[in-house]
Amino acid sequence: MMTFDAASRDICTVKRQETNTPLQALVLLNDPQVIEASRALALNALSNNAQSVSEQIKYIFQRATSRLPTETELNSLSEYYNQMLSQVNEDEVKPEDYLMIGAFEVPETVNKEKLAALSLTSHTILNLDETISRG
Amino acid sequence: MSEKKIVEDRSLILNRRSFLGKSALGVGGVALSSLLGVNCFRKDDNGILTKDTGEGSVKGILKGLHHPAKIKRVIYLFQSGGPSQLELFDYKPTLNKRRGEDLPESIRNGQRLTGMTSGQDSFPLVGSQFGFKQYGKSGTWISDLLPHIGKMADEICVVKSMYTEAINHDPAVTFFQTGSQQPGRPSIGSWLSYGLGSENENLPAFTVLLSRGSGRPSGQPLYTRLWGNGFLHSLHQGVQFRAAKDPVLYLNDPEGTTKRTKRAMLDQLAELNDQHYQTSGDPEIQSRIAQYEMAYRMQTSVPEVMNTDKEPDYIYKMYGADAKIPGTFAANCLLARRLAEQDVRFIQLYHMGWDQHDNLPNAIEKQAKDVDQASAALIADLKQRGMLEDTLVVWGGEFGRTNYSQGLLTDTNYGRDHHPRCFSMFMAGGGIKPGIVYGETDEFGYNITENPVHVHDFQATMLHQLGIDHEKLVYKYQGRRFRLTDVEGHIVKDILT
Repeated sequence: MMTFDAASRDICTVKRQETNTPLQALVLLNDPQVIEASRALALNALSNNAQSVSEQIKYIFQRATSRLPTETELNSLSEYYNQMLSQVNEDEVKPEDYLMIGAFEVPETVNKEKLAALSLTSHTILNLDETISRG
Repeated sequence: MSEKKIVEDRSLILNRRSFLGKSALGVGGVALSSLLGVNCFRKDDNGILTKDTGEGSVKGILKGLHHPAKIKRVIYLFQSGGPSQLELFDYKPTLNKRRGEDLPESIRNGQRLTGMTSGQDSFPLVGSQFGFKQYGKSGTWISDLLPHIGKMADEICVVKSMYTEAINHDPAVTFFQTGSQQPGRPSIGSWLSYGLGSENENLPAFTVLLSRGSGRPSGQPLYTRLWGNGFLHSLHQGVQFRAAKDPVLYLNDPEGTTKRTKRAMLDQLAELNDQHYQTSGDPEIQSRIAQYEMAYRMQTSVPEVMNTDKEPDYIYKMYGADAKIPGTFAANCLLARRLAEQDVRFIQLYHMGWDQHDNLPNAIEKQAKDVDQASAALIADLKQRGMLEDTLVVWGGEFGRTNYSQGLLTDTNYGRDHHPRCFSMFMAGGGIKPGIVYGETDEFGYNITENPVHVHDFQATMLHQLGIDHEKLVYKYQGRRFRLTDVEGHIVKDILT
């Protein structure tokens, strides 16, 4: 948490300092905890009766930013989802490894390829500036 | 940021976008190199460092250097807590002769003391418990506590006449780093990143490494704002590496994914973040995009720089046994050299624990042992690589210590309070006269008698060596043009080659 300006607690702190560093980006991009959270969010989207991919993306986007994506954003993210799905098919992304990061378990019934693509999409949304610095 | 500036910046980013729309790098990569700037210095036909204004190399805010630079980078070995000049560099036999006598009023002259000693009934003078020797051809007096630095006497310039306006730690460190005792101004490294850009697009231009001293392990804390960007773009803030085996965490891509996956994610993020920037105009979003790109590059560059396993044994011998222990000052000195080799412009080390109010002899011995060998090794190592000529190494703290004992003076023990009126630092490398001592203090080591050097003078001199006129590197904020040296600062020409 120190990377995100949490106080070191050896002195009293009236106000947190605000920084924006590449170290924070590394945590949000590679920390297992964030990847786990992305997966949980993706699974929630799937189990929320969101049938189409765009419905799933909308659900995740709204959870992260408190607003629905614009049409441009939605198209862009759907395209990204498809790109990720093809990375899965090309063995660039290995769902059996990627979905095992952290402790949050994936139910047997879920399509692993699609979940991996949606988790990566969800991971991306969690990294948006709007998600991070909102409020 | 003014409205006009925002409009200008936005038109800039739009132009860049249309120009580089087909670039393989994507928006993020472009934003990073334009904001950070790369390849700012080059050597001209006469071998003089000038600012590269060539096609494709994007720079800091300065369009060219104000004058030819002597150095490309600075390694600042900050000794936090206020090292006692009287035990290290400023030899005062009078204090040993008059040990226990009260500080004469004619010397103190009513000057302020901190609340920690102003209530003392007496101010017993005390000289150094440790001996001094003259070293090298220069015959510079250096304490027995610093034998390794002593051997480098002919390479360094000791300034004995530093003085500052602050009398307590945080304002004093803040003053050194930002030119103001009040928090909120950009620190030196941030000014340099802003003015000159970066020489290496794969590492931050301003890096920070911390170590704790064994003389006072739980000493004064340091605040991240000491390497903060103040009112400058947050891209220019110092990046602090952890004092541990892994200086940067989470450098590996998640399992089951590849670099291509990460690249696609960053492109997607840059695209969406950029759309958001177009509507909101918040410059912090640009910063975010750039920092993500930097993170991506650091995944490769940091392990290369930070992995010291391949350093040969003779290097570890030079820096000392501590250099193998991550997070020590010695290990940080070795990392500093490796960062310097990668052209990181401003490498800021802090070694804490120099605040010896009491139990000084015992504690300062440990402190000196922490830093002596590695500080000397760093200078020698830079020299043997031919890097000392374009690197400035600075060694010093935020103020000095009193010539009288804080608390009880016994046969073997004493303490010293903060003393801003005179203290010592040393510099080595790029364009600094080696083997000289500059400035003098009175025989009591209380007041400066010759060639005083103010903190702003030091800052102005450092900028001068980098090719910057300290009066011209300015940033307008809240209606005022700010600079590192505020409205003061004189270049100390006497110590320059």
